[in-house]
Amino acid sequence: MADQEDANREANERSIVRTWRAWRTVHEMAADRGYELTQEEVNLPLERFRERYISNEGTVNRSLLKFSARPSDDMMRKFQKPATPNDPSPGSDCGTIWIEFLDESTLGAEQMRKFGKFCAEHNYAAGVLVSNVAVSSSAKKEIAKFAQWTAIEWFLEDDLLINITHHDLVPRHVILSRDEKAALLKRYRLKETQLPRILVRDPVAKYLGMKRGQVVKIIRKSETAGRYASYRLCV
Amino acid sequence: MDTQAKPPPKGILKKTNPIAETTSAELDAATKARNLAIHHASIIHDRRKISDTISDAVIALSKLPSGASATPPPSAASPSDDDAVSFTSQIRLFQPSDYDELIEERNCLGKCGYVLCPKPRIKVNQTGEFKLVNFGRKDFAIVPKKEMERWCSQACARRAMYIKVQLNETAAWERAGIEGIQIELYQEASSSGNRGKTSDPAGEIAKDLRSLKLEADRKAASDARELALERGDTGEKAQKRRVAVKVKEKDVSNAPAEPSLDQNNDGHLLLEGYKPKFDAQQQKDHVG
Repeated sequence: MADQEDANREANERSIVRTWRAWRTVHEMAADRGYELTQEEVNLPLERFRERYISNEGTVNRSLLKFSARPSDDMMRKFQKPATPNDPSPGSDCGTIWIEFLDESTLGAEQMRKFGKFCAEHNYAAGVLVSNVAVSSSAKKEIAKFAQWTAIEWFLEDDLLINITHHDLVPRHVILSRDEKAALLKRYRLKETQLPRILVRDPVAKYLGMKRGQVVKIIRKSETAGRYASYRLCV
Repeated sequence: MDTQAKPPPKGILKKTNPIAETTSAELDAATKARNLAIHHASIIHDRRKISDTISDAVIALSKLPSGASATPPPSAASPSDDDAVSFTSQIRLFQPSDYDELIEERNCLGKCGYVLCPKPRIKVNQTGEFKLVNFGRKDFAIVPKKEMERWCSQACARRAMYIKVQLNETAAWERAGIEGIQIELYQEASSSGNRGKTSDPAGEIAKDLRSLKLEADRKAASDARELALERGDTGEKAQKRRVAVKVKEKDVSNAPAEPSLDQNNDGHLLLEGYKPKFDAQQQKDHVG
């Protein structure tokens, strides 16, 4: 009996630590994308996480694991829509983001639909769903239906245990704004299609929330040149 | 005609108002283009609607069977009538790929892949990709673990696949209106004789072929009926169209005479005793 309890507690403990790590990575991700988050929010220590989000039974209370973040002014400026004669001061492509950990034991089309509806109704420009279970393919299909109102992304908790961009072998990725992209294409006299490409489902592209058509600048260390920048078009 | 006979003097200035001339034609083209655009948009709209119905059906069917508390509780072999009807009616528009998604969705919810089965799917307690089935027996097989975990039992797998083979690859919007497409559930044999009967793949193939042949025959018959209707020789229609024919003898009073050559030598111009005067008339007109 005591063994059983010990095993349970150990499993709970492991799950708590995993969730905490995903929680921290998701905050780092939001901050890296340019959303406004305080330093305390991003670097939440495990003890504080425990205080806040652990239920009485000693398990993670996932229904509390949700937050929204507003884009910083820099980010708003960077993703400004191009001005047209009809609309001289258009808004920005980015808006408030809603991040939520899945509170249920399954992630099917129904849950995804509920999440998409929630994000669309509350006017969130983007929604991130972090799941601790596998996602069904009909759930993935639901995402496209909300594309008009809100950009839904999903991550597995397992994929967020470590922040991949902190890895030594992952170079710095910077998304270019529309103007920067135009300048780049002009400078090198390129068409979009002549750039090297990066997939939308590339882990780093997913991390940065890239959309089709955006260009990312990848800054690598180089033994001979010190720094080497290459550009990739998101497809 | 009169206005064209006397055209107004042509100005040397650039035409200032060509709109008056072209409006009707332009308007026509514009409305035509608009109608075409609307037509295509509505087609796309309908397709979206159908694909939405399918994804709604996936969600609805992933929750079946309902009424687990009913007595007797429904089982995969004897589902409740409501469930069976809603299943067969909603699955009608599915493509095999949609059906696979439905199975995956149900598995995600921890249920057996067969829609009418209330049991949870089995979990194989072992690591590794494959599992040995029926080890040491004749029907020994190596099965991917994933494949096994989709169902609660072999019987359910068979029932689900029986549905799948009836689904059609053609796009859903092409089949939406056809009422003839009906999906039928797997015919359960009596529980004792079930195994021997259903585990005969050759018999099942033969059955499939028979149903296929039946369908082809039905189609040929309906084609023949349509063709007959087009020709107008269906039994029913001919009865109505029949005209009473009376044969009447012609009275002959004088003796038959020997045929003679014509007086004026243009017998060769006669067509069944009639001499067409078209040419002659025209010549006379020309001279006159």
